[in-house]
Amino acid sequence: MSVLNKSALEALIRRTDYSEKLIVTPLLSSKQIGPASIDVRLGSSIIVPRRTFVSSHDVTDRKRVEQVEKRLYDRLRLKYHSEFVLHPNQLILAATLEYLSLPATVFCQVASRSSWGRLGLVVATASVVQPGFKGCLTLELANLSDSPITLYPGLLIGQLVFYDIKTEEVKLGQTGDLVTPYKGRYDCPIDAGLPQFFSKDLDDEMTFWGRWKKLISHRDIA
Amino acid sequence: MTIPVDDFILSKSLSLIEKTKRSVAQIDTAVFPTASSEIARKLLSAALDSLGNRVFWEAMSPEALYNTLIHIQGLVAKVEASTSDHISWPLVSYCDHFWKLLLPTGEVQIFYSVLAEHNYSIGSFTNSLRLLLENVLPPPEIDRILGGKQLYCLQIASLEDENLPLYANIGHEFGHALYRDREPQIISIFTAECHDVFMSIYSVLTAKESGLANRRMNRVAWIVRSIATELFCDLVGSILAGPAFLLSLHEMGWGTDQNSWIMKLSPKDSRIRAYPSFAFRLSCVKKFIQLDAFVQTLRQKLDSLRDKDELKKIPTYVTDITENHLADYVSVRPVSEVDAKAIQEAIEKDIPVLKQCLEKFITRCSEEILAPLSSQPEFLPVSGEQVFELIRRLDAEIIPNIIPSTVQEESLLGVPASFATILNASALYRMYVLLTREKDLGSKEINLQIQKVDRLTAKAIEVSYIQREFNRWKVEEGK
Repeated sequence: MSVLNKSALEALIRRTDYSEKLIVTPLLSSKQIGPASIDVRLGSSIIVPRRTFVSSHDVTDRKRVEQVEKRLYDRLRLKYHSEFVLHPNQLILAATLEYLSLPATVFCQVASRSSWGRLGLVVATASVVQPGFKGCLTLELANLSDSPITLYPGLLIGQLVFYDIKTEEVKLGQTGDLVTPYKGRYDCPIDAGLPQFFSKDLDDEMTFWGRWKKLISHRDIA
Repeated sequence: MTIPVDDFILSKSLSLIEKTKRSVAQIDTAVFPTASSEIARKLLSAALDSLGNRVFWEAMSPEALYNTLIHIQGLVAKVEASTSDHISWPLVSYCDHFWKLLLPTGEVQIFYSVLAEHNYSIGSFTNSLRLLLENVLPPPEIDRILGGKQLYCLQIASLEDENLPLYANIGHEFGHALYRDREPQIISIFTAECHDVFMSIYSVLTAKESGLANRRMNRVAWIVRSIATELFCDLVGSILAGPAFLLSLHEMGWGTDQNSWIMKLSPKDSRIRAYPSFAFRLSCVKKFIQLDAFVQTLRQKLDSLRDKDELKKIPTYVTDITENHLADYVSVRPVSEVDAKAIQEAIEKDIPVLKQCLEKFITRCSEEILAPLSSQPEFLPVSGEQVFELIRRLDAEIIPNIIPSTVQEESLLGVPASFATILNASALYRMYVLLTREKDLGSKEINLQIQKVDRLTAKAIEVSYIQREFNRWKVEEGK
């Protein structure tokens, strides 16, 4: 596995077969493609968590998670040229302006741009994007500084570092197939997305853990 | 004791003025989708200030003031619903661009609001306000408030209403404003082209009941004029959206009688509304969108694809739209109206001639009114080749925002597709998804597939607009 450099990225972008082509669109400037990364911009779709009277995020309680969603979050659609002020200790979810389509042999990681980091703005904590992913990324933006930070849709805010999964490593399975393209819980998203804990097999075990917690609390009360 | 009703109503009205002023002041201007919403807000604010001015109370009827204020609430609601929370700003930014091309003088402006129904509607905000104020304020004061402005309001379905297939109808709605703006020229074409059919209808009406013929003929003229307006608006819709407008019109007609010409009489003749049959409208639109060239190119490109037999059928979605209007008939409502039967019989007898006249009318409108616009890139016929490329992208679950280019720099950044190209690719691919669904798919899966096409399209509209604006800025700044 190796990091793709500028010429490798440009070659992938110029491919014409959509299954092999790397798509990061719109690319507004060729300067977005750096020596080993591509800069991405803040999009217009933002989710702002709000303080409310819901006791806590209990992700093991599927029904409750769905019911309290509207009380916990505001969904905003910012106009371009309009500002969004991110206050100290505030976390928001924001979609990238760019839509991505990764070939089955490439995965990427999202990182902050250093200039923003020095202001205290942290971008993306869930930073791995699986091969074959298609959609806009949801960035987690947090202001760790003591001063409000003004953001505008379109600002270059993060960077993507791409890794080539070598063909030998990809042909792992007994059938010799290429790595299975991403078929995850997020199907071509374009807006900032909320966590979806119950749409994958692995997450289903959470009901098990939550159930035990509830059984214990019921027994204590009794 | 007799309650002094006038005082009671006046006090209540004055209180309502203040309440409404507060509502207008509290509208969040930061979320207006375009700057022109502020014009509407300021007009309302100025109108309410005048209504609250003591100088005018003497001459006012308290009942009239109260009625005016009640109806002004509807206009306030329109401005309150003018928010980018529920309106796609890239969509209205594109709309504003087209509006300025159609009505370049800048004297006629537009703002955007949300309509509760899953539809689109346009109306003159300033005319509505003027009509309300005419009951209570002197004409010079109304002129001072409105300042000679003409402001339209386009009400669109909200973002949450998944209204993408209706985007193609916006051109039709703009057609109403263009019609009003060019009314003398259009009416002169209309009168010239419909003269013969009017003579023929008049002779039928005279033969039936000569004493009522003039009144009925006047109503017939309003009916045909209303029909001609709709056809003119379809023409504008066709020029803006091409085959996507045809598909959208086709979809609007689902579940309705395709051959009925509906004419609604009203005690006030200027409020008569009439609509040609869907079949006739589709037939007229097909003639104006240069369908043959588009379909031929699209078919050639699709044929080059391997293993995509179903995709290759896409051109048939537009070519196979039924447009048989031979079975057309006339329905004049309400049937209880004393003139309804006579008008229905007279028009129905001449409907083939009427159709010919109307076809000539829109042909001349196309040549004399809309032809000067055809040099603008936004009004060029949609390219089958570009639509093909965007369909390929949609099929690969990629946003349909970039058209092919062989230029090296462009191949990296991409050339943004036009609004009409995106709409057409989306409309055709949407039809493909609907028609090729596996029979055992449930409603949830079908909805997910359609939603995916819609959101990829919405994103493409957004980013293509931004990319164009950014590219324009780069050129202006010499970047």
